[in-house]
Order: sequence, then structure tokens, then C-alpha cells
Amino acid sequence: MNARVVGLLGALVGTAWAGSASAQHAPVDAPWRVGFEVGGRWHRDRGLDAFGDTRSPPVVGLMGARDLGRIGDRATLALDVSWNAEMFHGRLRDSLQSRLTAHLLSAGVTLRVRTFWWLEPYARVAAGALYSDITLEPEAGTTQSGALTGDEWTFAGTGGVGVMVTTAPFLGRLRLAVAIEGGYQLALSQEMRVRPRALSNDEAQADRLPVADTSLGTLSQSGGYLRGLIGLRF
Amino acid sequence: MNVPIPSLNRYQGVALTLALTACADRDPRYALSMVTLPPVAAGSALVYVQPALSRATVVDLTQDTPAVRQVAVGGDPVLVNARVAHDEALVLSRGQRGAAGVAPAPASLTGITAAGAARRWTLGSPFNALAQNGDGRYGMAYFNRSASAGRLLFNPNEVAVVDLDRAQGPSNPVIRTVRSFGGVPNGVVFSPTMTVAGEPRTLAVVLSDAYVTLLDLNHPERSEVTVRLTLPEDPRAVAPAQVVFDTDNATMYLRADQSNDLYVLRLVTVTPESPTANDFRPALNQLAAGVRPADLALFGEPNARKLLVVSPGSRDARVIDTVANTTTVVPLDAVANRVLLFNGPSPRSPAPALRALLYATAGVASAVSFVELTDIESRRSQNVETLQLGRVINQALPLPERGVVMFGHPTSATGSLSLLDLGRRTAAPIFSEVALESARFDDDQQALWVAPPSGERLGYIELNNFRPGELRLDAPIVDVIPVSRSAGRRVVALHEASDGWITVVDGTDVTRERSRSLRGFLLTGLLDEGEAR
Repeated sequence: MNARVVGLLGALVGTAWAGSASAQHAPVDAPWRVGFEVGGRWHRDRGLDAFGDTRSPPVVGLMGARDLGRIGDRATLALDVSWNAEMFHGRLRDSLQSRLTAHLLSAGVTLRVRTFWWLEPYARVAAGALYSDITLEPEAGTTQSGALTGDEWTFAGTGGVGVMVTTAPFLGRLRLAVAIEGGYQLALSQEMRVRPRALSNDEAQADRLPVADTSLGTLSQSGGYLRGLIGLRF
Repeated sequence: MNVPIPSLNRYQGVALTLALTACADRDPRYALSMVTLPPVAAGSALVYVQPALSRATVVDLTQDTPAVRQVAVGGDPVLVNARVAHDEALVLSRGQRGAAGVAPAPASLTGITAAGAARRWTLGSPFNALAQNGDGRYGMAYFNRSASAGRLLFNPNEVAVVDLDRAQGPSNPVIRTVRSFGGVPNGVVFSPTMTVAGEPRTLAVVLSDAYVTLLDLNHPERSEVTVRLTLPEDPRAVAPAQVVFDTDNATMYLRADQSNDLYVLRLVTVTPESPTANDFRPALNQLAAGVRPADLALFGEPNARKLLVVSPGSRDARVIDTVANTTTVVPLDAVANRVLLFNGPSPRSPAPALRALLYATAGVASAVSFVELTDIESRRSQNVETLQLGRVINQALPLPERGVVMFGHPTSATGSLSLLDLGRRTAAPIFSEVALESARFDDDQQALWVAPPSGERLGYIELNNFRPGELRLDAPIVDVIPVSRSAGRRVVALHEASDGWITVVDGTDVTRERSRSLRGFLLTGLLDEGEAR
């Protein structure tokens, strides 16, 4: 991590720590949160090996959340929506470039428990749709023509726990929030079918002979995950 | 001394599991090559074999929507052949030598039906060639001298005879080493069912440089019979190349590439001396057959068999009376190296009769000869009619059942193909952009299909009226394979795609509306392969 960022975080946390004891437990008045996430999933399905050397490529995404209300003195319930994506890319059987992009669109509920005003462990559950898009393309330099493509939607849910650190306000009501979260993603299996990629010319596409789909089998994208989030609360 | 063994608590276990999962190696199957052996038709199915995966992919074309099935075959498959007269494919595998982490596996032969059912016979040695008899009952695996065995030691004279109608068992296959006079097998020919010593049986004839070896497939426990074609002191390799069987008289006629004589092997009945001895012995005779005889055919009644032999070196044909042992020389206007017997009419006689067409391939003659076989010995050249084609013949594709022969010529203004009508004795030029090597008759021989090597158009000629046509497909065609189907005809055009791409054409209605493509079928079940490990 950049030393300048560490320094800033340290300074902000230090400032907060220096406050009075009662102020340590006062809730943060910043119901909105937007952020950027980066992390990884540990997939167990060996079928993902068809799309590269690793089953744990980086996951990146965006999220937004809104506090719904307080439960008791220290707990806060929040609703969030998020999108994240991971891309697998590799060489398949010496002849094809294979790519799988998985997009997860989800809505979740987070229960945060304030330990200090700046430190909030939380639990989160979310559910949504997982969209997988695959492309199998002949390698450049071959005389083969045309890529195979296929896509599929399925249900996915996640459950995890994490901890969020919030800084003192700056630039008015803005606060920096950093979180780290680990958990498990449960996704229903997807049967992936491929067909030749449609031609860009509609007339040429309409002239094509009918082509039967091919089933590549089923893919399960369940597995553990770890993600880090950095964003703003306001 | 007690050494404390550290134990993992549940949290450490979870962490370790996560770490191990994250570091799991890629499944090596996904790095294996997808290259296939040339596919074959097995009844209504197309069978592709992927050697690196030791797997066959069966595309069943019985229904309008093809069904794709995958079948495991023995390790290191080297060839796939359609089983003669059966809806089955035969995959010859050399097995695994064994390596670190890879257990040795014996060579095997796998039979695969259109429905994806598989049978396997263990062969033991890593054979690389396979021959079948005329009805597909027997297969013989042997070593082709042109290919490496890939083993430290191997016996090139070892063969395995498989009864393809029976499952693997103690006596099936039969592993034998054929007696050698220093040579190795060049090929294997199977006899049709022929009566020997009063019993119908099938013989395998193993061809070597200067000798042949007979194996009685109905009595595999009996020893083989080896017949030298030259004297022991003669170092010539006469190279037997063709065998014609007289099934009624227990006789076989051998032609050798490096000999002007024909070899006659008459199988004479004897009383076996032991249970493993044969009840026949060969009696060898030689017949003069001109200079460099190139082809022969047997005709005539069982008690008056005659051989028709063409000898391009002496520019004649010879009729050899095998009973009287007399030879009639028939001079030819056009040199010939092929004999085609056919039963059909002639322009002067509408009554079907056995006739012969003599022609030469490989660009050595531009005329063909029709021979009336009745009374040929008395009328000689008067029974020969020469038809000028005007162009030399490179290849021929005979279809005597339909009364036609298609010839391939060098490309010229008058077309590169011609279709010879055997009854009318006329040759119709066909303009074609494709050589005859890529032409295929469909299963019921109603049409001839051609595909240029890199073109998108599939051409055909209907053989009942010689009407040509063509069909545009969506991609260049690399081969065309007719497949049989219980209802109707189907032709499969193969396109270049490592993942598998075919177009199935209805042979009875050759239109784009009736054609369907299947793409990516070699990847069927790709994502489930890892789970299967």
C-alpha cells in the first residue's frame, strides 16, 4: 500500500483516538457510502481451468449503500447494491483463446456493530444474479474462422463478515471508509452452451445456416471470497 | 522421546484449505492438444478420435438434431477405421509405455457404435496398422514397417487376430508371430469365405517381401503356413502386392510387383499330424503373365476358371486358362494397368453379360479398352473395342453397380473429369474445379460428392441422370463424408475448426434450407472433465 495513504490513515485514526471516551462511541453521521472493491474468489470447480491458469483471478467492482436505521444503541442496518466482475483468460488445448467473464449483480443487507465510532465489525448477506459470458476464439495465425460464444444467468448469494474503519470527516462531511470482508459465495450451477458468434452484418447473419448449440457442461462458481473495499461515507 | 505433534485447530484448518484451494494446479487435461485423427463414418454417426485425450467423440446423425457422445479409447490411439460392413468404428491404440505418474497400459482395439457403445480388446503390443476381412468379421493388427513402434524392443512379425464378433476372451484376440525369412509384413489380405479341406473358412494372407504366410482364422490354434515365392538362394524381393481368391477351388493367385510371373497357391487337403497342424498344404505353381503384370481378375465357371491379366510392360492383356494352363495374348491399342469386370450391356447387345474394362491410371494412356469376355480366346483382339477419351487418365473411381466409371484428367479446356457410361460406351466430360481424390460416392451410390480443398461449395453429380449441382455452405470444406441413415441419405461436409465444425446435408434435397451445421462438438462436456478426474 502506498506509504502516503498509510500515513493519512494513521493520522486520521490517531486524531479520532485522541477524542474523549464518550466521543469514541458516538455514531458516525454519514448514512451513505460508495466504494470500490477489489478481491478474489477461491473457486472449487475445476471446469474453470478451461479458462486459464488460475481459478482465482482478481475481482473488481463498485458498491453503494445506505443506512436504513439503528438497532439498539450500537447496531446499524444498511442496504447496499453492488456489481463486481472477474475475468478468466487463457489458452485452451493449444488451439483456442478462452475467456470467461463473470458479473455479479447483488443487493445486500449489512448489520454493523459499532465498537468505536471508527471501527465497525459487520455481517453481510446478499443475493443477486450471476451472469457468465464465455468466448472461445481460434488463435491468431490459424486459418480457422469464427469464435464461439455463450452466456448464462443464474442465482447467487453471498454471506460474509468483515470490519470497516471510518476516518474523521474531511472536506465537510466526507469520511474515508476502508473495509475488509471474507465469506462464501453460493451460486447455482450454470449449463454453458456455445454457438458461433453472430456476424456484424445482419444480412449475412440471416443467410447463415442454422447451427445447433453445443453444451460445454455445467459450471459452479461457488467458493470462498475475500474482498477489500475503499470508499467514501457521507 | 515424545515429540509433541502440532495439531490444527478448526480455524487453521479452514485457512489451510483456502490456501490449498487457491494454489491448486490447473487441470492438465485443458492443456492437451485437440488435434484429431481423420474422422470416419460408422453407420449414421461420425467418429472423431482425439489422441491426446484418448477419447472418441461420436456425432450421431440419426436425428435431425445430432447427438454428441464421448467414449474413452485406449491410450495413444494411432488410427481409426470404419468396420467393414458394420455400423462401427475401430480405434487402434498403442497403449502407454508408462512414465512418472503414468501407469503402463497395453495396446488395445476399441469398437465404437453409432450409439456410443464401446467394446475393447487388449492386444498387448503397440501395433500401428489394422486390416479387416471382407465382411468385417476379423481384424488383424500388425506392424507397418513405415512407422516407428515407439518401444525399445518390438517384434515386427507379431500380429494379433481379433474376432470382432466376439468379446475379449482367452482365445480372442490370438497373438501370433508369423514365421520370417528375414522380412517383415508389408500388408495383410483376407480371403472371402472359401472351402478348404471341405470346410468353409477365412484365411489371412500376410504379405512379406519374398514370401506369404497363411493363417487359418477359423482354427487360430493351428500353426501358420509360410510359402516362399523365390528360391532360398534368390535374394530378390518380389513384393507380392495382389491376391485373388478362387473360393470354389481353394486356390489363390498372387501378383508381385517385381515379378513377371503369377503365383498360384492351390490348397491341397492333407491329414493333420497333430491338433495344431493344418489340414491343408499349399502347392505352388507359377504362370507367365507378360511383362510387369499390373492387375488381374478371375472369371468363368468354377470348373473353367480364367484369369484376365493386364501387363503394361508388354502392352497386352492375357487370358490364362487355369485348368488347361494355357495363355491367350490379346494385343491392346491402349496400354492398361487396371482391370474392371462388370456385368452389363454393350451398344451391340442389350443383354447383360460379363465384360471387362481395361484402363490405365497415373497419366500413361488416354484411351480405354472394352473386352467381350465370351469367346475371347478365339476372337482375341476382335473382342476388344478401344474408346478414345482424348486426355490421359490420372485417377479412376469405378462404380460398376451403377454402370459408370469416373475418370480424373489433368485440368484442360474440356474438363478435368469424365463420366464413362459402361453400357453405352460414351464418356461425358464434366467441368470440375476439384481433383478426383476428394470425390466420394454416397452410401447408396446415388450420387458422387466433391469438395474443392478450400472452397465453400459442395458439388455433386446424380448418377441416374448425370446432372451436376452444387450447394454453398458457410465455410471452406476440408472433406466430405457420406453417412448412411435408415431413412434417406446424408452427407457431412467437414470444415476446419479445432473445436469441430460440420454441416449435415440432406442428400435427397440438397438445399440450404435442409442443411444444418454443428459447431464446437469436440468441446462437449469440456467443463465437466475436471470433475471427472
